[in-house]
Amino acid sequence: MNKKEPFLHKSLLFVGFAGPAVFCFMLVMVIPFIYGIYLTLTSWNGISADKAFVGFENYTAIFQDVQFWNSLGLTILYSAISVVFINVLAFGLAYLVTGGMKGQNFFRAGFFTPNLIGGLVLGYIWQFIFSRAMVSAGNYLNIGFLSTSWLSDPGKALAALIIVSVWQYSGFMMLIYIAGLMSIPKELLEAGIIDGCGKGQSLRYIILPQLNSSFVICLFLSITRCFMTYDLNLSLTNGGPFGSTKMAAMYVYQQAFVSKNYGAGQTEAVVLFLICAAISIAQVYIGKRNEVNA
Amino acid sequence: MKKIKLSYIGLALAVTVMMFAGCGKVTDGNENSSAAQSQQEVKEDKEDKEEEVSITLLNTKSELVEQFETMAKQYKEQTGVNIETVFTSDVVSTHLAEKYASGNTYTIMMVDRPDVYDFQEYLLDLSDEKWVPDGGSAYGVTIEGKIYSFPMLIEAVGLLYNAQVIEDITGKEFVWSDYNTIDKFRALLDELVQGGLENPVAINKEDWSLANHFFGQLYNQQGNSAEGSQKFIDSLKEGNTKLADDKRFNSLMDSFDLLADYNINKADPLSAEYDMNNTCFAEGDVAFWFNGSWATEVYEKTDKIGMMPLPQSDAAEGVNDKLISGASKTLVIDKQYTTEDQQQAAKDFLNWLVYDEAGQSFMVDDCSIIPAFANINKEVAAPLSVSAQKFIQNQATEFWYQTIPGDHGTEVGAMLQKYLSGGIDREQLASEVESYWAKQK
Repeated sequence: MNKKEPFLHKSLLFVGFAGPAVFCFMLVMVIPFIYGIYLTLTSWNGISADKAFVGFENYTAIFQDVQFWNSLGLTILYSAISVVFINVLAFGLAYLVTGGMKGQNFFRAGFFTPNLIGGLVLGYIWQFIFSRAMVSAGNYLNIGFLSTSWLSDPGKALAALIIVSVWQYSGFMMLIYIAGLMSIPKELLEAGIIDGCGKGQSLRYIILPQLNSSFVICLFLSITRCFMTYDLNLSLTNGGPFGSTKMAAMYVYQQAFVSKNYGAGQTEAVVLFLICAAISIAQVYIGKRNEVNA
Repeated sequence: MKKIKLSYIGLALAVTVMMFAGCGKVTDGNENSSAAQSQQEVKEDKEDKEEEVSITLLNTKSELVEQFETMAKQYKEQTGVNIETVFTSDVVSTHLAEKYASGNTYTIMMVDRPDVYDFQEYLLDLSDEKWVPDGGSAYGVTIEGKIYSFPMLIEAVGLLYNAQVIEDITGKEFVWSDYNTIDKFRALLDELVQGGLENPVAINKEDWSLANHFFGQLYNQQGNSAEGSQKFIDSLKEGNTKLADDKRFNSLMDSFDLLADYNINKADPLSAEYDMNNTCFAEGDVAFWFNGSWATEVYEKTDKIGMMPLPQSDAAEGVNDKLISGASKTLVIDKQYTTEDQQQAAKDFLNWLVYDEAGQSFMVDDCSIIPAFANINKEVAAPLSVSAQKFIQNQATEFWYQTIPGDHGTEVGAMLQKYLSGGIDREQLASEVESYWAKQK
């Protein structure tokens, strides 16, 4: 390329092609975000035209809001378990489906389909399964732990949420792992076989290190999605039996719109964002450091 | 080379412009700014003798969508005023908060009572309207001496009964006043169980039903007046009332325990769905359902459906004979974003509802709602509404305190769900409710 291309020329090119997207991003994400931070300094109730400025009062009040930290703790627990299961299952499925069995394209499409069903519809379908279908089956076959709806018990409701999340996201993560697996150079695997690697050793010493970047991506996606989960929470349990499966996002929404404490809710949303961002950035940074280049 | 690059840039920028043109059309097309539109229409129609005013009306009752649209056409023919009716099933206060934030709202809005307090600063004062002494002051919302809302319909909360099922088992006609004490009621339930109806009661699990309707009776039955209820609430906020010792609380929870004993969903009370309960009640699998007069899908097998007050052990103030009722849905007029003409047109519409034959027949015959106004003598058609209307006409009603905080349903509802499923006992419930109120400003 011509190194003497003027800066103006380059920036015009950028504006021409990326401009619209950046502009939309600014309007939809950045400006509301900045406005939201301004709102955390007020005691707005979401309706009135008057937004009283209260400084950092909302931030200090957060530390006394026990329910918020409970929701956050629950979200972290839910995310941790879900992320582990999603990635293990996704990797397992990807490994199976790239092994060269018959009809593997069909299986790839099949495992991906749950991800296409939106969060709300998925939640309603599974709510029906847990509270009606499983209960009927449990009563008919006399299986104890299926006879009462899983959604009436706090622990089981959380398990139900985890099951549905894993079911939904495994397919998507599986695709990323498939792409990663397919991009491993064949020479490495062949060299391993020549040197006498068994299947297990080849998995552990050759394939997994090569998939490092896929792991980083999948972990990042699954952590952020599980942390911010709202639609599944709403449709499957709606906060669960007596508010016991109320995740952080649902708590923030209720605080802002139902309890009409918009300022406090926005503050909690900002805190949630900071925590999620910190975890994601840390995870990506550690992952990138370990990346092996072929 | 440069020519090609320039044309690519030009193409990209053209796409950008087209995108914004599309955006503009979508946002303006769906939601007409009624003020701008009608002002334009007013200017354009100056040649006509009557200036055509256009107002918008937000309907939040899904059962009445068609009726409102037909009425709007009829109203246009009768008076020349154009009413555009819009329906939403979103939570009303969230929907309106969004509308006011964007400066693009409706002329008349059907809201719940608590919303009138929330949005008061934007609403028109209706204290001088003709219908105020006819029922507006009794059932409308008064804030600081001014009336802001037009009571659209009256709803009642209580125990729905399927008289057909009961009569099939007892063999004699069901008269609710024969069972208006808790002991007589319990005897009737036992009789029903022996007659083959294993679990004659249905209790909803939904938090709004448990907290705002059932538990709300605690706030309603405090002297049968707004002041009495407010005094009780204030004392709860200050922590001066110990619910565990409160007579009304214990009496209500006794009745609740009684209903829970005979609950058809006793094995797993929190899996009860509102629609399933509705079906059980309509089919005659249960004889009693604690709900309200808004249930319309219950006449499949029989027309002998009615409602009665919940029998309690503490019969003070005649609570066993008075049905809790109030105007739950009210119409309010916006003053922030409307013109004088639109406000007048809206007020005329409200007067038409109350005093014009066509308006009255719209409310009572078409919408089957129980009107709040003393001058309207029409009878409603639905048996459940007839049963409720008898109480209203005999003035045997109990005040319905509706200005509970927005999160009362979710918070106290969660506590009642715990109680219903056996997670906590009555004393813990009392202390949890007390700490909820202590947090309210």
